[in-house]
Amino acid sequence: MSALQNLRSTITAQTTRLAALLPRDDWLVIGGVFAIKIMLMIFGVRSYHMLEDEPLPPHLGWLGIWNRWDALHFQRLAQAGYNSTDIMKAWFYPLYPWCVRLTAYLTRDFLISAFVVSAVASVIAAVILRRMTGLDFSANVARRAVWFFLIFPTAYVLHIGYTESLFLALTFGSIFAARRERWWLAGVLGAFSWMTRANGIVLLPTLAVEAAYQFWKGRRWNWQWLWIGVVPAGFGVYLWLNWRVAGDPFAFLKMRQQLFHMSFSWPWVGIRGAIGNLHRNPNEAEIVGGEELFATLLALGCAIVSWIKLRPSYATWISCNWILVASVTFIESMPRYALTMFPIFILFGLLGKSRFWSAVITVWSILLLAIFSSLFIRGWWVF
Amino acid sequence: MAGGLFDRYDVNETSTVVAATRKLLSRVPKDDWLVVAWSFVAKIVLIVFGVVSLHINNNAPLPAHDGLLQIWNRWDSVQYLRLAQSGYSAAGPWKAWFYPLFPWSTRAVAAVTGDYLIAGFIVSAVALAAAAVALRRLLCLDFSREIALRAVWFLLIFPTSYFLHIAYTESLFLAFAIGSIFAARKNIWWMAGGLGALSWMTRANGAVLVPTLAVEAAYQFWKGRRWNWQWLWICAVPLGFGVYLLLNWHVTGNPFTAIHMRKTVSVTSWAWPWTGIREAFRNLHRTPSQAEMVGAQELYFSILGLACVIVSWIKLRPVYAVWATGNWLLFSAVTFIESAPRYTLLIFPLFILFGFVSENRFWNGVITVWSLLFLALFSAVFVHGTWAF
Repeated sequence: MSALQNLRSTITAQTTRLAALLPRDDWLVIGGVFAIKIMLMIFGVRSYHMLEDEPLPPHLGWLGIWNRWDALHFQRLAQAGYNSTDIMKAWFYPLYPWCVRLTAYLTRDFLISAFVVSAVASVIAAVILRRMTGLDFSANVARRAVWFFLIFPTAYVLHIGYTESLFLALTFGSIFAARRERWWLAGVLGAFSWMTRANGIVLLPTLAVEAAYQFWKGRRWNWQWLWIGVVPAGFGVYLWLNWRVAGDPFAFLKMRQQLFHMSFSWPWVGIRGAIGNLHRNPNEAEIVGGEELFATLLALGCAIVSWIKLRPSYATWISCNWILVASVTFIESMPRYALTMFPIFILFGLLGKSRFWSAVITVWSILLLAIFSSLFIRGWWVF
Repeated sequence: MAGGLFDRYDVNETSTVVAATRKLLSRVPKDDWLVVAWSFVAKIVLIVFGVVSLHINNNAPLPAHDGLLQIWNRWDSVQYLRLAQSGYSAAGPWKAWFYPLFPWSTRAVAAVTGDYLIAGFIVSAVALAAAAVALRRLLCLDFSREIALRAVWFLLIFPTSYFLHIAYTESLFLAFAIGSIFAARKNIWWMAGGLGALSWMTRANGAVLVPTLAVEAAYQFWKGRRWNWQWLWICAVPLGFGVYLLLNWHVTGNPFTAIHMRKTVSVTSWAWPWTGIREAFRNLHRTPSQAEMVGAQELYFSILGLACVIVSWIKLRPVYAVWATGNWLLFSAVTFIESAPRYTLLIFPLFILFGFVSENRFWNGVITVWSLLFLALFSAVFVHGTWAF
């Protein structure tokens, strides 16, 4: 009996010690990420059954239904590596597939590995977002910002074999480190971020503006700011990979035009194109017309408000990301890219102080999250 | 621009209008306005969502006339609007199967709007706003403001809450039923009886108000040891059923036709609850879609309802526990459980319990995400024209 009591008190003491490692709100965020992940997986299975009227695929079907579009490419890259005979050559940035490959040494399954990498990254991203928002705003605003981030209509990509969660974990880490004046960490995480997605480039002006803001506030030069110069090292790895695979470090630039039939242009060209898409058939009008347009305007609105309400570095991040994604001849996947424009969620967190607006954003987000997820798992293109 | 319409108003008159509006607003508690606003926002977002999901899933344009609302005019809704428009008829297969108050209300409103579909939506909109306010006020009698608000929130986002906005009877029924219980709690028994009668004129579940109000009266007697003649107003509740019997007699010549019809129009008959639950388990072996709809979901919601019944007897006032138990038995004590997710919506004590649980932020998030994900899924299936409870 006393042994049992000892065991119980030991477990209680260990649990308390473990819980004390992180602030309570971090545990709440971690619990929230996993709860939403589990519910989305269950929802995926249910909606697949209901809408497709088919049983799940045989091997790990409940995960397999999420293995679509870019996820397939990342899986293949993790499994077989980059290949010059492949039509995509070195188009995809390497850090995510390399992480999946590394994890697969432990799990012995590339699909599971992809989900593990995204799970760990999404937890880190959510925790850092909360802490970062907490630097400027109340705990309530920070919690709400994370909530709106996790339920955003395209938030399902945070949980599956896509790069968004890893990219955001590294990006948030980099900006948070800069805010805490750990510039070496900001530079290194920034380099990893750019090794994950092209948008990593936006960290250069973002960190530079943060440094300038700190200079403006303190009127004191900090040599540590030069660590920002490390960020392009991530892109250097990408260029090296392109050279290695395609024989030309800038092969990806030519592929953009060949693979996606789009090139850089003024934002209004893409927006006009999206308005034109409203006249397509109802499905296309909704996906490549209405939703692209709405996300583009939402992000633009938030970019403008960010310059008034938020720190200049956050405004720089959202503005440059918006320009990067919207300044093309054909706007594509804006609802997914908007997920990486985190100041949107801080603004939602501020707006959500009103119960009314909190309800509006919550209902809108989760209803669309459900419909986009249900389309995605059935193999339809949704951003 | 002298002589213009707006020139006739001076500053004093404008401030009078503003003052009058403020006075009107201040008469109703701020939280009532909040739940009314929620109910309308939920409606607008859901209607927009219906259009988006129809476009995306079906790749179909909206129907030409009233398309925005028309896509929600499915299943029972079609019957109610037909009854509102053409009245009951002995020639139809349904005769007087459907309770009359919703179609009659729709007909009355259509006399103003000139459109039966719009009228159906207006009746449900007004009823839902009334139900949300009544539920919030009812819960404020026993619980904190926060729990009351959260309970209304969970009612409005429940996976089958789309029925509250469309031409179905759920919102009108809930408005009367919750109104009746609220009146009983406030000791306005004539109103409890009157609203109870209207409730039973809307749906068969109105029968549950008789034991519910009786238990409330017994509880009040137990607490105060004082007889109240007003309790006899409970006897007014069956008047609603009387109207239904009269209607059946008028349409078919037999007041009990609807009871005999149950076997023919519905595949189900009374049985012990485990019979229906066993059948739902068997349905899990159907095709994936059917296994999900008439198997898993019916089963989950039956179990959720049962759990709510059990916890209600421990945590809540007996009146709520009786309401939950009576309603749960009514849909589960059958050979084939059908539409349990929709009927669970009527077991409003469930939302009180959700309100308790969600005091913890984590569970608040979990219930909200679960509710809205499945609200989206069921709504998408419904506007597609497929049966969804």
